Amino acid sequence: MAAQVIGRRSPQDAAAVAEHQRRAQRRGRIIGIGRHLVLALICFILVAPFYYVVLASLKDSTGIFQYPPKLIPFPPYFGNYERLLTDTAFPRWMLNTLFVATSVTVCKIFLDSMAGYALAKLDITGKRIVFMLLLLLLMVPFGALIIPLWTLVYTLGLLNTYWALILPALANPLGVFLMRQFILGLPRDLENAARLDGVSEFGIYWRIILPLIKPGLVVLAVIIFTDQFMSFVWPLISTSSDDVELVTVGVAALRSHGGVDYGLWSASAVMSMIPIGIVFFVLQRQFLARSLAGALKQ
Amino acid sequence: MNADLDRKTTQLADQYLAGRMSRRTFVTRLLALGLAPSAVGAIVAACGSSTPTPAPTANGGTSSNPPPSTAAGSEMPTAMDLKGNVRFLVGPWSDQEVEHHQHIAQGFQAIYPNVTFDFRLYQWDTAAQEINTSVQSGAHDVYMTTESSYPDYEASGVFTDLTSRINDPSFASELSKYLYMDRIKAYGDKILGLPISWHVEDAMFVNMDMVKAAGYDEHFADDWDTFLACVTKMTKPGQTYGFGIGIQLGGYGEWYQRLRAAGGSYLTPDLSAPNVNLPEVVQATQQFADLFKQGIAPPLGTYTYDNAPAAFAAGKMAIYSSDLAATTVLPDPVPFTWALVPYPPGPVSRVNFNDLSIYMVNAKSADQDLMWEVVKWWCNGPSDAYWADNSGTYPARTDATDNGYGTNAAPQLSASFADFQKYAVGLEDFPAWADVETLAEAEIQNCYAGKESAQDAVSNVEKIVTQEVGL
Amino acid sequence: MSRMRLAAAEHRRLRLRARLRRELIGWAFLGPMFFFFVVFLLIPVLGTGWWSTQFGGLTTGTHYVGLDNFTRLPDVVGATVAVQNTLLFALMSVPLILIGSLLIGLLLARISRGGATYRFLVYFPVLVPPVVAALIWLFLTNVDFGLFNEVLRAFGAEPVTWLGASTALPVLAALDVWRNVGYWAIFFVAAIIGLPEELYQAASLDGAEGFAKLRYITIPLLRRILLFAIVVATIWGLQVFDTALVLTNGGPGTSTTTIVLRVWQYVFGSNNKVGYAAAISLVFLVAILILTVIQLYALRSRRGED
Repeated sequence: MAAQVIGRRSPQDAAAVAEHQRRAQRRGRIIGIGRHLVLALICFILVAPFYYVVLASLKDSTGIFQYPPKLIPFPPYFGNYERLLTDTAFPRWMLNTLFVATSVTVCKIFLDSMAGYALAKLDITGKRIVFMLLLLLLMVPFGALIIPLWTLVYTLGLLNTYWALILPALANPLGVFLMRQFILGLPRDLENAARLDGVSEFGIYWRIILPLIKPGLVVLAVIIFTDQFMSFVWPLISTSSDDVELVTVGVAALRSHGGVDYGLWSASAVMSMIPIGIVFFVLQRQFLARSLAGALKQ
Repeated sequence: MNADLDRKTTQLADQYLAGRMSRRTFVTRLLALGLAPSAVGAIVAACGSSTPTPAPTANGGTSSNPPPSTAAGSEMPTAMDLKGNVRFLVGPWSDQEVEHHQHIAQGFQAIYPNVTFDFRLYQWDTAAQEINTSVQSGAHDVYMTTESSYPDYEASGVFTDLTSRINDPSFASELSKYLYMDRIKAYGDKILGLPISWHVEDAMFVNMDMVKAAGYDEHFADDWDTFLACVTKMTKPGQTYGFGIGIQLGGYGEWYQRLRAAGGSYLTPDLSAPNVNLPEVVQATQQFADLFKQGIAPPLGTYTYDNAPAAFAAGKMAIYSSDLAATTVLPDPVPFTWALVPYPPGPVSRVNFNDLSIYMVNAKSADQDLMWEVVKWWCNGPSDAYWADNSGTYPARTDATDNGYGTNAAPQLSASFADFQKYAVGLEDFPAWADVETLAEAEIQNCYAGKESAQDAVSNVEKIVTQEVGL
Repeated sequence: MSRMRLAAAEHRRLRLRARLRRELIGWAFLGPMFFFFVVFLLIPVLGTGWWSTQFGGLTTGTHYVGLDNFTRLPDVVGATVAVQNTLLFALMSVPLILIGSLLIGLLLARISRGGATYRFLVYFPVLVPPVVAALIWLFLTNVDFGLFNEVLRAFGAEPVTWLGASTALPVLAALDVWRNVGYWAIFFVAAIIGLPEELYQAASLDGAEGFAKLRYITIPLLRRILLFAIVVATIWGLQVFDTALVLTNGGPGTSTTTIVLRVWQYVFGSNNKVGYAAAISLVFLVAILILTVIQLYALRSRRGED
């Protein structure tokens, strides 16, 4: 457009327009740099605490209390990590957490995709009611269910077992909605054709639907896995011993070990972030899609 | 091994080989000398396997007809009879708490090799919740509970009623060595456990160098006005606080002992009405609230149970209030002379709150006999002395010093032992005492924070009592 | 003639059977998940209602008291404080989270290079379990050697008691903001990128500057997403528990005792308050259900506009 305008003006006006363009470009660049600065500052604020904690985990108790503090730990002190891994039950907690998180994720992937498929494509009386129910209780605060849930698990004799950690987690309806959304987007002809060919319903689900919604499955898996890693309230009240406990509960229990041990704490904080950190690094896009999943619900 | 230790060991070995001592007693005494369990095992093995204890072996595991008691108390089943896994849930008294329990366990295992142990520590501020959830789900077998919940447990039945075992004549001589059993028995018909320690929950850790520098001596806390003058003088803004309170776990027992020092109590002795809203109580509360207002006490939240010891050692507080267990986490060495002193008097009297720690058994545990043996072992002379010595508290036995209490414990503890006993006051015997205490301390802290007046806070505490007790 | 009529009846039966078969298959797929949903979510919701009519302890027995728990609830020391604290907390953290994440989202959406790195860094705090985040902040807020006070000291200012009686709740809110801003930032980035480019170009030609574009284009277009974010962020904010427990255990005094924390204390730390805990839970539940319904209703009615 600017070219058209220039073609109709005199050379002086053309120069003026060019000058305007240059200034606009410079402004644009300044704004761009400004954006980067602000973002960098924000990122620094968000991430600085982590560096501080990693730092503390590599210092021994005298180094932590020092002022002014050393910004680069040299030489690094690994005693805190040693103690974390040998003196506490941290490895067991991590194992438990990985086991529970993986189990729930695997189960939910199938449970939710099947349910999502049913809600999206299959004929069920009362489908609307079921859907409304799921939608309504989607946001139920977990804290409000402590009493009856605990009593239920207690009566079933499942307190302080892996079941107590896995089973209630399977009730969350979020995954169903996600799967339903993905499956709704698939063309109807595909499955109709398969049905005509005589493929069983389960075959359609297994061989056609699942492969097609694989990206959605990955997002769902990421969401569920992360949520399991972060859950605290329920594991806190349903487990009491080291052999079933999760990392979150265990790390909280290290808090007052008869006297504060900042080095141990910091080490435990760092170690507890490692698994998710790795998964995040590898599956970045799917993680960020977790946020987008909410947008999809619109 | 030095000569003295050598001599003592040889003496014991002679007695053992002469058949005048059971293997169990031998092991116990050796451990009490401070020998490492591995060394003890080696010694016992060296003395040969010809143990002269002919206890009758019953069928099917644990027997319960012991032969007549020997000097160390009732005899019990032979080594092979006890087996199983015992899971402990105990308090985080010290840094090396689990190691200390493992040391005690090794002594037990030297006699009963088929028993294994798991130890888990709860947190002080969520102890009640953790114990409750654990005992309901049968997650642990042996619990270290605080007296504050004893009335509750008496009413609820989740812990085993050990009355018949404790009152059994074969246990009588051992029983006589425990302190404060009468207190436990006074709570009701059921005796739920054996005491391991009696503990002062809120004592003053005093930097005596600073007290002397301010011109006072060790009697500075004998009356309130002198005390107030002293802490005011010791406060240096930006540098040192005179008296740190509200630090210990939301103030457990802290205001309660002021309530008692003002002549009040949660309930009247006949448990019929609250006894909180008295002018002296308001006065005592106001005295402490003023400490905050004048900057003598650090604002709530500045220091917590975890980081206060280091701050005290660094001179940030001239005096700070905490329980005795803090003696085990003070930095070593503390760069000044310090002492443990009871709280200064209130308007009516001078008291210091203390309570017992009691080992109890989960009623759901399968092998009750095994658990009883374990509890007895943990509460016996050498074990109690060893544990209390390393955990910063007073053992609940008369024979503690004979068994080595005092070796590791801070000397300040034994120095103030008599004082704390003089001013000791315990809790009140109604089931909701612990609930009231938790809520009351939180309410009083709102007053310390300046959110409500002392009168309002005290009135609220009265309301709490009424609601909790259901009057 | 009769053959046709027979065929009709036969037809109906066959159709019925096919219908039944389809129904069964549908439930075979939906069933398992729905089973867990009913057992571990629906029934507990109803259970909370039942427990709120009881008085007593979790395992020490209860008896029926009708609606007494609700009428006596405001008087129970500690109940109203918990509600106040929670509302105050949400009031502090939710707006800050949304404004902060919107800002970050706007910046991030227009960045040409380094977007992936920024997204990674911004999102990182979201992955930290709330418990660990609280531990980290316990460390940062330490009066004598925590990072915050060291920064203050470096600037020559006085150190602050961050977890004091009047500062603990704002600090808790700040912790929440720190943790959650990244989540919503990425959310907004996706939404903003999805906005039609042409509108902005047209506005530029008309001479519109940055803020005007923001006010008149971006925000109105994001209205539905914003509403969704506000409701969901609020619902999550009201449920604060982990951080309150680990950071301050509800203290000092009762200044950071939140609803869920109070419920937990009543249920497991006391022997006669399970009814009150359930009553609080029920009220809480209903409040959040109402929020959910509002959100659903408001979003549905706008569907025609786009």
